[in-house]
Amino acid sequence: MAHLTVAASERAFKTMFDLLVASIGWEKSDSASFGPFTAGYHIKGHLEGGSVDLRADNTIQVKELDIKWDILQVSLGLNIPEICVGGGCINMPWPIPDICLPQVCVFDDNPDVEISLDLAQFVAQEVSFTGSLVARYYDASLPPPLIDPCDMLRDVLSNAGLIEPLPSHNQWHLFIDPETVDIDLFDFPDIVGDLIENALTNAIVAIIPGGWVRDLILAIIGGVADLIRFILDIPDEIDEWLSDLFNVSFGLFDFLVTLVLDIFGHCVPIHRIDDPFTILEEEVSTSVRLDGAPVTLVPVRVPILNLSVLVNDVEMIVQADAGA
Amino acid sequence: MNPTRRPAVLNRAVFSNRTFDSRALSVLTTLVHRFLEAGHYEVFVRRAGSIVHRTDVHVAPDHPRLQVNVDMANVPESKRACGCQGDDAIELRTGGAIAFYVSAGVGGYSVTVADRRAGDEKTGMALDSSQGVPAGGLFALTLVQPGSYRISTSSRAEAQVAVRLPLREKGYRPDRVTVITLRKDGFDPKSVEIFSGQSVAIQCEIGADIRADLIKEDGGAPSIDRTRATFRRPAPPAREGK
Repeated sequence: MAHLTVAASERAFKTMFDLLVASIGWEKSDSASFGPFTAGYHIKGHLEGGSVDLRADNTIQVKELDIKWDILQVSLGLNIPEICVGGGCINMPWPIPDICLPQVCVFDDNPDVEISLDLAQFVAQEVSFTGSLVARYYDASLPPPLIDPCDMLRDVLSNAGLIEPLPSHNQWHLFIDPETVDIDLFDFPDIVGDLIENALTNAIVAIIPGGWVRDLILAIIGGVADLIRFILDIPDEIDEWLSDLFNVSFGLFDFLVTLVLDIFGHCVPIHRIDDPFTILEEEVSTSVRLDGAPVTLVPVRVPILNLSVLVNDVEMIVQADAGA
Repeated sequence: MNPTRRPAVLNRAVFSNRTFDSRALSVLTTLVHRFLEAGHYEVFVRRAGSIVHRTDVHVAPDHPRLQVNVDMANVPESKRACGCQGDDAIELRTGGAIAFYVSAGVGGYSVTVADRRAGDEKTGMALDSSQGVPAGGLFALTLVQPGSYRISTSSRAEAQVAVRLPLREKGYRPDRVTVITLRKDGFDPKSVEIFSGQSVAIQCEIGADIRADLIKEDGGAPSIDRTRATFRRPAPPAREGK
């Protein structure tokens, strides 16, 4: 039988969970070249809300945790192909070889256009997961692992004052270790497709002079909308293409899954228990010694051994042995 | 939203050139010279009478290249493109052609091609564009500004080219060439219509200097019909006693 048993109600657990969620945030940016265009992103997000259900099978279900985007910026750079006039070949009677006229190009170089849009307000995502509570021991005397997936995230969060840095003393850490994670894919609405198309169109049209020159250039490139679709290799709708870009090409869906697994399962504990655990703090007594010096009561600390944690449908129960 | 762009400079001459002359080659003109005999030729590119580039052309039956395009505004780049950089000669198969054209700038170029075997400059001169297009030569114009152009020669042959903007034209392509033949009795046909950005190639059966002028500008895009309402301020009431 364990020496120590502590229980926290579902409501208290939810408070701990809310504190954990409030401490989580992330930021990431990257860009890639896809041949005729470049695409980049800068995302910054945090979590909000969500409901927690402690279940009788020793699992915890977290539902409808909102992924809130503070920044969801996408940048697109288009390398517009050469726009040229002239050219074409003249068929000559055999055996005279055909003559092909050179083309003369409208710009001195391939013009590039770039747009950057923040789409944070258009994206709503939720994450739900089921997991079990896991207790892990943090031994402050051990050197940090060479490869620590939490290293950067923990630094970011602790530098931002959202979590406490790793302590200089030993601790037990309680994690919610997700077993199944459901995250909504990035799914941009139609209006985002329109926004991107309009922004690209404006950027392209801005580099083309007006009047009949613009009419001619637009005729050469076959219209801006078709040109954009051709360069970006968009088979259907721009919003679907963008969703695919975020989910697959940028790998941000995998990033979110990994983030949730790492944050909850390994990086940010829902609760920390010091080892040894202080039962009575150091206290300066009102009594005095014969020499007149105050009497200081030393703190009472109990080493915590064999800590385990489980849940049922009403509470979380932490059990441990008190060491010698 | 923050649209930015890397500046690309517009080749203004493409849209502003209204007069073309085979004796002073400018943007949108191409002079094609065919090398019918094997040999070593010397090519001089001149601008306003001054030599701006010189290159050798080796013509032989075993050379693979049938055509080389030489941009007189940037001959070194043209030679890089054809794999004959620096002082290397342009290699061409017998019967092949060089298309001399101007990609940018105000123009005023001329070109001479001389056979190096010939004893003197005059007898060896295969092409002197400042004197016109020789018989068998080909002079091409890419007409961009919409309107009506008159093509004329010093022998008073004339042809008309109508250039229309390709508005709402499905399948428009600038790389379409309309061929006109210049014979002793004039141009054939005497009138053609092309879309803006396309080319007219004049095959010269006789030697000629050829000139093309924009004689009537087209308004460009058709005007948009707009319903206009006119508001008239009512006249002030007449004062009493007047």
